[in-house]
Amino acid sequence: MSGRAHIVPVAGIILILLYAGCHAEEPQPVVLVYAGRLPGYADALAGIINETGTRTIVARCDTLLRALANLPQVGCIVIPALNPSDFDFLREFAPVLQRHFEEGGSVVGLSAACSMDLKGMATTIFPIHGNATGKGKNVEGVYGSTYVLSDVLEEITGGLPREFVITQSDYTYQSSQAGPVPPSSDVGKLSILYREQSTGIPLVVALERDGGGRSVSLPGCYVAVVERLPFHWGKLVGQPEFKELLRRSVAWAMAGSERHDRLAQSREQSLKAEAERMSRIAEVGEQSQARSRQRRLVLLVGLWAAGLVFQFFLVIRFIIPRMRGPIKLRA
Amino acid sequence: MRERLRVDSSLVSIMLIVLISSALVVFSLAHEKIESPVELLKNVFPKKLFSEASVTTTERMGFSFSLSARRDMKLLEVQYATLVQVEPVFVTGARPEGSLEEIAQGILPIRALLDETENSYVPYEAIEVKASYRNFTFDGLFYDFPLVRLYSDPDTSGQVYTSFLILRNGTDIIYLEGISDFFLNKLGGFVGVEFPGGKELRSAISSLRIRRNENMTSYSSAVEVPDGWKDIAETPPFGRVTFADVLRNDTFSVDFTVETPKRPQKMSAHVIRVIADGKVCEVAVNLME
Repeated sequence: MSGRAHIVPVAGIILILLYAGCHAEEPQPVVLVYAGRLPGYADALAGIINETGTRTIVARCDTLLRALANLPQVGCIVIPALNPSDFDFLREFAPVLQRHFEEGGSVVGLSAACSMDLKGMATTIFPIHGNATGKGKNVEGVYGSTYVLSDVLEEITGGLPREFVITQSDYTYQSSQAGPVPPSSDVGKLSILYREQSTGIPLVVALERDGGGRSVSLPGCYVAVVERLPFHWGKLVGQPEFKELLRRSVAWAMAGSERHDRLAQSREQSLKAEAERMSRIAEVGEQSQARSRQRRLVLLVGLWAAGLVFQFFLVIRFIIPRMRGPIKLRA
Repeated sequence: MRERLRVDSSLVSIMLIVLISSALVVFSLAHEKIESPVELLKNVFPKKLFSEASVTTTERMGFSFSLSARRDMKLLEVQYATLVQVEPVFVTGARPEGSLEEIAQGILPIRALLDETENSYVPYEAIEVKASYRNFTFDGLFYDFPLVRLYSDPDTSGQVYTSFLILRNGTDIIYLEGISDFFLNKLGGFVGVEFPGGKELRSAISSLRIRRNENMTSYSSAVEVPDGWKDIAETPPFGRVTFADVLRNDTFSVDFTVETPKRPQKMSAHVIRVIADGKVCEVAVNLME
């Protein structure tokens, strides 16, 4: 083969590798935001998270969350769903979120999504176990609650004041006959970052799961969809303290997403392995097909040869003697 | 003196014609391609799910799919997808004009998955399909995203959407989306459903049988699984039944009975793909009202 003839296949291989290399590029980590029937609220929250340069996808329908939640690039799932009609879906989808968390994924929950009993979500992912509600009140012209620093977690509390007011109509907590029960979890380290000023009820709870995975519960942040109400979601998403709290919570949760780190790191490897598995199956199939074609060809050629031999036999035995002339009978 | 053999020239011609024509027949047979490596024997499904049922009753419905191999294969796979009809949410808010592919790719979950799962190793599948329902026939496009399955736990297959079907008859569009599994709620997870008699079902599938020639594997969702049967949770993950080292004329079937109080609100569909040695060779689209 000439030198030029070598260049063409080599260049082809390089191009294919380059193409494959480009396409195997690790996708940017993404935050999924699901607000159910309130896509406007989800857009606003995604906008706040985007300000840090983090990519977000708003799950505008249940299907989008169902389809995307398990992808390796998902670094954090934010669930601010408020509408009771979304809770049926969340109850159904809870096993996926729970598995996501158990595999080391990260989740941030706001209001009901982190405090209602949504098939175990409020017990495994979010340690709130909410069964009672406290009310917000008018504080310096803002309808909400005063958040007061409790445990320090530099990544979240570091950029926030020791005390601030957040817009919310209610907050949830666990209560027993003896009074409020503090959040608890047996899956990892739990920190109560902020409490309600007058009652001491936890309002920001961070959970770091042993073996990876983080959750942040914001069991306050109950907002309304009616614009004239003082706790409309538009007021919450406009508050600088809330914006900072959300940004920092998401950033902290993402930083501890063991699932994302593990899957993103091995993404190319696992995809290659799957592609190789598929091509091996196809290759083995093609080989087996080629073998069966070969067998078929051998069989046909054999039959053909046998037919020809038989034909020659007939010609030699019966036709040629007749052509030699009439058969002479012995006297 | 030895008599010289005189051969008639017509005999030589006949022999040559026989030789050449038989060679042609043999070589054309040798290059004959078998169109499909499998032959579908049976595809039974209820045209109407829950024909009499209200939400407080259950009905038994039988599904049966069987085929035979027309050649030897290393691996034969039967992949089920169960889909339900929903109103599509479009990226731009309105349905784009154009081909079925353009319309499908304008649907939000399909578009997002195309963008988010783009890679050159495990690509998505888009298969052109035909379907019929009552007197209507549909051209369709079936999208499947194996990457979603790759990163999902089989125990959650009932909640994770991997497959999408868009059907067109004239200007009408039917859009269905769903899971990779034999049926909805295979592992329970009924939410907001009233059970007849208050007795919760473990699975929508009461029994499932996978047969290869004379060998049968049976699965049951009964609380007490009969002897020799397996629990429904042990069914092949993601509704993908695989048979290795298949021989020509082997026969296979997947039969199951569904008994569930949860009914899809609109139309539902089974898309059953038969994959021979990694290549999709048959696609059955079963539409159910």
